[in-house]
Amino acid sequence: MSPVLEVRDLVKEYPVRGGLLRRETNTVKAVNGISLTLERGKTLGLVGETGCGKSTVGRCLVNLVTPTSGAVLLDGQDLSKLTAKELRAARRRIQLVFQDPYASLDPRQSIASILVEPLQLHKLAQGQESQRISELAELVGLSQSVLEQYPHELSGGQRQRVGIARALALEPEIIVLDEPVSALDVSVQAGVLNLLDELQVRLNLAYVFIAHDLSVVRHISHEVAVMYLGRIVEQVTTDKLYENPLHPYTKALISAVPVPDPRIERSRQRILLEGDLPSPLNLPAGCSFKSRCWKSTELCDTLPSLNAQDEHFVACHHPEKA
Amino acid sequence: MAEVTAVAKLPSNGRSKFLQRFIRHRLALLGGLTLLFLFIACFGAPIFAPFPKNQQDLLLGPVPPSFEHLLGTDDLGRDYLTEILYAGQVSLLLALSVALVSTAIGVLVGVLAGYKGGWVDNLFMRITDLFLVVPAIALLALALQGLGRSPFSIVLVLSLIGWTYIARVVRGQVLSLREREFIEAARVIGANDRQIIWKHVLPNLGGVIAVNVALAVASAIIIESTLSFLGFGVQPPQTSWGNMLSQASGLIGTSKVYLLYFPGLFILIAVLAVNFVGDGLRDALDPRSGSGSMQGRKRK
Amino acid sequence: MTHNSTNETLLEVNDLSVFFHMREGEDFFAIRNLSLSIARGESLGVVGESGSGKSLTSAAIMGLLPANAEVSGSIRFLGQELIGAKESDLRELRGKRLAVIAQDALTALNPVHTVGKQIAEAISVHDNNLSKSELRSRAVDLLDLVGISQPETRVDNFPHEFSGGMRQRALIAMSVANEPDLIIADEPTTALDVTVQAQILDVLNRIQDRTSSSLLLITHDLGVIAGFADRVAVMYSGDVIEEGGVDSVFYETAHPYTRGLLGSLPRLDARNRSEPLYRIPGFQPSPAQRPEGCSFHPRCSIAVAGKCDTEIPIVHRAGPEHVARCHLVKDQEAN
Repeated sequence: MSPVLEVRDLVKEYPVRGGLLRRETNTVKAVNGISLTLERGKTLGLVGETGCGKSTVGRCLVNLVTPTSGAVLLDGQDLSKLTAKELRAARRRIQLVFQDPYASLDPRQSIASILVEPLQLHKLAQGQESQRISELAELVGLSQSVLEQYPHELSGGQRQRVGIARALALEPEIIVLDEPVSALDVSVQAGVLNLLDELQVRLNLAYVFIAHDLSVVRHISHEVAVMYLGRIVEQVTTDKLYENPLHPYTKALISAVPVPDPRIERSRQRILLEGDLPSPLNLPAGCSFKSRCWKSTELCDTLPSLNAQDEHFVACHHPEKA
Repeated sequence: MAEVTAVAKLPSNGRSKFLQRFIRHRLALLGGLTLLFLFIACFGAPIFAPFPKNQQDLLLGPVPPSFEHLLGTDDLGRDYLTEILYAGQVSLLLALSVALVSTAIGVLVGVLAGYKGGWVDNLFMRITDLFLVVPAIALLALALQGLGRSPFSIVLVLSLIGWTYIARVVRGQVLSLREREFIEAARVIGANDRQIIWKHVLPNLGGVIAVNVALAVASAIIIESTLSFLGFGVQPPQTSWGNMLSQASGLIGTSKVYLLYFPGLFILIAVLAVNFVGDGLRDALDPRSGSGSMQGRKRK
Repeated sequence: MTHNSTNETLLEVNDLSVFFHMREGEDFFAIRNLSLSIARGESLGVVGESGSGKSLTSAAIMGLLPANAEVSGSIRFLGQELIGAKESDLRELRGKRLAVIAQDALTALNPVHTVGKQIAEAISVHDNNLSKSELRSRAVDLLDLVGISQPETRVDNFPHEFSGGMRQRALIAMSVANEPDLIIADEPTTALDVTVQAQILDVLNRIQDRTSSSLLLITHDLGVIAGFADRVAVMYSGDVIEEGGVDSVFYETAHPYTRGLLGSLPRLDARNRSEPLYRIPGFQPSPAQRPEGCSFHPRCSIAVAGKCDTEIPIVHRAGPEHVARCHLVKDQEAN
């Protein structure tokens, strides 16, 4: 099966300006050469901590951010080589759901007006817009009365459902979900996660699920890529990653997540990382994790490449034993 | 305290809440009614004015306020109340036009500068800086000298100077709006800049714009009066509150000084009323104001 | 994780209610008949979703409620009644016997003073007999205690020179400076990444071991509670609806809300897509619009009509040292 989405060597640099003339003095590589593939109907989890570049990847995918280099291919079509008109059509196929459901809804628009906007922009369901938005509301489990309300009158969970419905309005094949449940309370989060599961099966959607919560990612993703300072350090099918992490960073990350089970918690060994994330302005040469890694040697002064054994990708000179 | 704000009741309907807040603002309501009354009186002058316009009674001459002539008469024996109401047409219309035109220019410039950023922003903001450092009254006087002093050129010149303030305010708002996620969300579903500005940016500027129109009316009334008083504004025989004031300025120290007071009083009332309305609009359009506030109440 | 906890009760909250007078709309109880207790050296976790009143509870204990709040009930700390106590007495307690670790380390630190100076100030407010150099060396010790490397140089840094995790450590250093009896930590790790959260929780653990302080940990994260607390109180819409030792609450869960909450959590140790998550229908009512009867009944799958929707449930004993506010819990014999 050919992948619906392919990312090749994606790089995004941001200029850092300084001095009196605000000249470009340096660049920060928010995303530093990332390649991904996504199959139709599957979920790829993208995890990492603050500043690892996962959100920038998401924004590059929907073209909110223009990559510095590298390519995003939709069904083999390079998005950067499309004309403006073709790009507009391509955009329909890949949509984004934001983290903060309140900030991403225009406070002055009713829910109906928010949902009808994408239809009007792409001339979809012409003449039957109101019927279509009712369908969309139903699809995400919102009652029809919500359509006449405004974002501030809804609960957090309802707002996020509106965000999902807006993305679905364009009948995309891929949805990039940028921390879609991290602003929600746990009891509400469960409903949204179940909804995402259901929609995926029903509409054969592919998800890029960006999150920092490893428990949520394990629940929802088929495959997980772990990012650290702009690079993917490990990528493999979900259960394999959690049961047998090969990269020391992945191992530390997983060990740090608390489990809601006192007995298990008491028996767990935490790996406490030393120090803080290095500044992206001043990355160490070689492996960027070496400054905090308990296994680092001289070998780590050279950049490890992302190598695979049995489809388990890891970028480390001293991986754990598989 | 997040818990506390979460508890405050949400407004059930934006529009009715807006009205409630506006009406609760007593001064704004008072200002609004006063303004309405002034408009009706001035523009309904052919009906409401006690005498026809310009009806002279040279035999009568200037008389102080009386039952027949509530505000007295001028040198030519014209009923002063009638004159003030007709002059009000010019003053109010000028002020309103200036407010609308300058707001329109200001919003256009502010939105473009704030939304586009880069050199567009730099250019527009340097222009507004320029207006800040040039003494406005002198510039106005010069421009009117050159352009002639018809009401049209007064509106033109006042607007050309007045837009900078609103442009700055709007630009600031747009800069922060531009970063909001719902603007990005619109871009993701395929909206272009024009569509985003019309559907998402302008509606969210509604409050700022409404407030600014009110405040601009007030300042235009004052500037027009100042200019007319200095002789650069509305030219006789056309009358405005400002040039009535100017014509009466020689009467200080005489018994006819009331001719100076009355136009001044009308200017004062109109400006105060518009300012109150502006305050009220600002509070009413701010959803955080008023209801459910946890502050300002001491424990009993 | 049981620390050197004894049976001496340090803090006892009885029938605490916080009532809000609103300018508009109806007055309401934000917290209703809440009871809690903490023994010396013990960690009590208070867990709840946003709007459950957990932060308000800590504000009430600290005596820092907004002006339109009316408090009733009793909060006894070290045998002293705090409700109605003189402001000067409360000030004496706060920061010395009773310390708070704030959630937002960036705004809680003053950007124009060095971290060391702020720690020194926290000490000297309650003990002004120390010389400048003594204060400084205490500050260095404290930074060392919370795991900041090179404390001798770090003590002269400004807050913006610290990372988020280090700022949180500095705040902890400030709050434990006077070896308080009770530390209230309100979502101390919510804004932090998991690896940093693990470091911070480790620091709190070590401090507790060393000083035998008690800890009131307010969080929305049941995982943090499971790993950290001795006992847990679950809050819902202004009430504590279940309270007990962590093991009994997690394994012999009595209240349907707690059960729902645990069931709705995706777990790190559950296989991928094993089954849909449990979803509690509806959402938590704000205390201003609390339904009649049990405030959870509209969302409860086992609510009994005529009982749960009319009567406010009383506290039932679900097991030894384990109580739940639910009509459907059968009282167990006290042992």
